[in-house]
Amino acid sequence: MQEETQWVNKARQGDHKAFKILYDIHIASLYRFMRQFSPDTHEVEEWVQRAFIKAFNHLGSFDGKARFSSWLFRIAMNEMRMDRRRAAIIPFTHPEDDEISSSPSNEKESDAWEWNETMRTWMQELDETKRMVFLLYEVEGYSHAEIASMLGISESTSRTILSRTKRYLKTRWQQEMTQ
Amino acid sequence: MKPEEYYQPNDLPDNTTKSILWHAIEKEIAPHRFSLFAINDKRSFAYGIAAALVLYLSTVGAFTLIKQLIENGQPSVVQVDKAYQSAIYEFEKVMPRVTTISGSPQNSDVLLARKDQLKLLDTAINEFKSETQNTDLSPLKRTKLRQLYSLKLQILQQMIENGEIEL
Repeated sequence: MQEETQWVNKARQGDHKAFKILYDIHIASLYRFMRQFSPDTHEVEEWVQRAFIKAFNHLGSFDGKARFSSWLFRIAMNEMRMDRRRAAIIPFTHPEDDEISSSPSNEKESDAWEWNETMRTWMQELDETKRMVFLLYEVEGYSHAEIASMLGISESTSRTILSRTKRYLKTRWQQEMTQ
Repeated sequence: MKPEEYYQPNDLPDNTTKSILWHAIEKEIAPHRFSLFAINDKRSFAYGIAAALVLYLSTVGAFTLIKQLIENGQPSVVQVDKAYQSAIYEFEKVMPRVTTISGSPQNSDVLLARKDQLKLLDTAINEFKSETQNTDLSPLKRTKLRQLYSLKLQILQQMIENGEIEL
């Protein structure tokens, strides 16, 4: 983290080599994350590229309080959202408006819940905000505070979205098991 | 859940993609070299100069046109006054000033008197000029002013004819 701060500071002064190091550190995680929102690799590359360019150009506004990666992810997601809005392909639903079916859950069920490949397909059925929250929390390991900052939502909303998404996946998983 | 459990190998960018992306990014973040004569700058510069020139010519043209319109719109009395003023001015320019003429001792009194006369006339003309604006169409003032001009010209003519001013 401290080392990363050094690279960020150097990049802020226009050091391209330092920024290349930051690029090498984060390109894979950012790319694979963004890849979950489009089957079109060109589109993903466009988001990633624009995110890095914007990050470099606006390094002065990065205060260093958050992780560089969370800031970078936020820029990339904003780029994607901007494209989505322009194309009006997928409208963003408000978390409170969704209709994810709830199912009784307890710790045992939670333990019994296992990730499997089919769930990736189910994930694609979710809207992008839910997918983002789930991936950022469960897969990328960001906190709700960080997710809230990245997506411009409150921490409680982030928790609610995650909880509902997990319930939805569990339900689908249970239905799959009973068949 | 670990990222490896969720993501598939084809979710990751290969080295070629990484390299292509970096080159594209590097190209964008590279500092743009400042060139005074870069194509875009040169074009802007030329447009700026042309615009300034057109603006200057338009302003001069408009000013001249307005001035002409105003002058043409002036009544004939004003134009006659201006002609007098102009004639006196041009005449005085080519004629040596009385104060610079070295006269003979016997003529010195006459010269002093002439000088005083001209001084009084100039004062009176200046007062009238300052009071009488171009828009002032008072016929009395205009007539008086023309008389003063005429008187001045007569005095100057007499001085030349009497040899009081050496040409």
